Amino acid sequence: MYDKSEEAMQEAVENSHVVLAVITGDGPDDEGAYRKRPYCLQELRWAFAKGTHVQPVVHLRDKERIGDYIRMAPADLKRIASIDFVDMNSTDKDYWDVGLRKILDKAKARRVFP
Amino acid sequence: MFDLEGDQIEAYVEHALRALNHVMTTFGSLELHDRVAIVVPDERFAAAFRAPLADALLAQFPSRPFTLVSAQEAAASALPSAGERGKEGEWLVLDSIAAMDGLERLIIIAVGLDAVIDEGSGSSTLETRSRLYRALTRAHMMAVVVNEFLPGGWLEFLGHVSLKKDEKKFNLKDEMENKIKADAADGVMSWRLLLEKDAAQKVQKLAKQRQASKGNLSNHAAKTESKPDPAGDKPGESTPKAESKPGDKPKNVAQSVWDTSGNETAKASGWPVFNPIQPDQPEPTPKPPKLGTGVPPKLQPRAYALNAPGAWHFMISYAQGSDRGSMLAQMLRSSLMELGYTVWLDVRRSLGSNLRDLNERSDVRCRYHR
Repeated sequence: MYDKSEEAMQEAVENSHVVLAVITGDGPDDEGAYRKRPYCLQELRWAFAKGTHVQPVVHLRDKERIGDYIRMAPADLKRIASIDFVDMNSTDKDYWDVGLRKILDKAKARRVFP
Repeated sequence: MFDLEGDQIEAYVEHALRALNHVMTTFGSLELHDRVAIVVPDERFAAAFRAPLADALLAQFPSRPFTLVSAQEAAASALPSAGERGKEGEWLVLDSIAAMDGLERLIIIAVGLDAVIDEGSGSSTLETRSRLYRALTRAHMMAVVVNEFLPGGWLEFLGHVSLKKDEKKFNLKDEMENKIKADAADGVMSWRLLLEKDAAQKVQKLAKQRQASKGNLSNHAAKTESKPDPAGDKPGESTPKAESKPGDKPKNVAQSVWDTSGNETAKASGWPVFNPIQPDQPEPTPKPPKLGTGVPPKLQPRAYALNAPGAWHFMISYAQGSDRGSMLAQMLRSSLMELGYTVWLDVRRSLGSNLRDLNERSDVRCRYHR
């Protein structure tokens, strides 16, 4: 019943206050990595083009790979390096809440919400 | 309204006399013969009230004799002139509200009709409301309420209103605005009465809930030791439209219907259970999220959006081929939604699906949004 078109996806990106980019990947050959998914990259492009606040998020175990993610990002998306990534620990609620608070605080600092 | 201390009948006699005195002061030399009815809740109260009141009337107004008569006696008699009445003096009708049904008088003094809303059976709660309505609508010109202050009673709101000081005339515009609220309250009650077989129980439940909230608010008020807002006495400064916040005490509303200058109660501090004039007791606002920036801002839905509502707080972008990505996206969505945020999440792959399956079904999309 919901519109599943690419336009609908663009609509979501451009009409959200924050785009949370959950960036994952297990190395250069990982075809399931975020940087290999055309729609994921397109969502980032739409967000940057629109000026939507993009917040990169990684799993705790991928924290050490943030540098790799930035290095392997397409040239037009290298600007993601200027954004402070937030790592999320999904194994402990207290740590999870810390990550969640960081996401919200960063959005607040950017005056994302009216 | 007064705080009951000591004998109930004595207290009601004392304050009924004050009410009558107010009537006499207000109308000056107007003869009150058969123009005033003192309405009490029932025959039992009337029987206990009659003799002490008669004695007190004689003591209070020795030069102006009054005779207490029943509604039936008054209705069965012609209106003799002052000269024809002789020593009998002016008649004051004293009877139960049931005996006054269908009868009216220029002035009604409603004595002891209120009751706590959540006490007794549901039918008695509604009966109380009924007799108050019937008593007040017996009056052509003036109704005077004499009642002990009952927290949780139908008349509790009278502890929070005052007559506009510089504008004692009835203000139609202001009162129409107030009436809207009163009608709304009536509407709610009527709806309950008509559509629910267990109307009384529902009313009691509502009252209990509000009293529970009131208790919380009163506790808070006691801690802050805040005093009633005197600004409420100033016309225009305290209006029924004023917004209240949880923790606020009810403000004194200036209006042009009820003159409560004769009130002698110190108990009116909490939010009335029934309040046809003031704004409703503020509902406790949702607790702010423990995390982040506070209450999520309200979003404006977009017309003609491909997916309703067309605006979201968060859009989560993640790789469909990553179990970690899927898991994080789902967890983020849940956490954010728990905090009240709306989240657009494109679930392209359920957890556990393998990449090959994903690639084969990469066109399959299912969007969850809120």
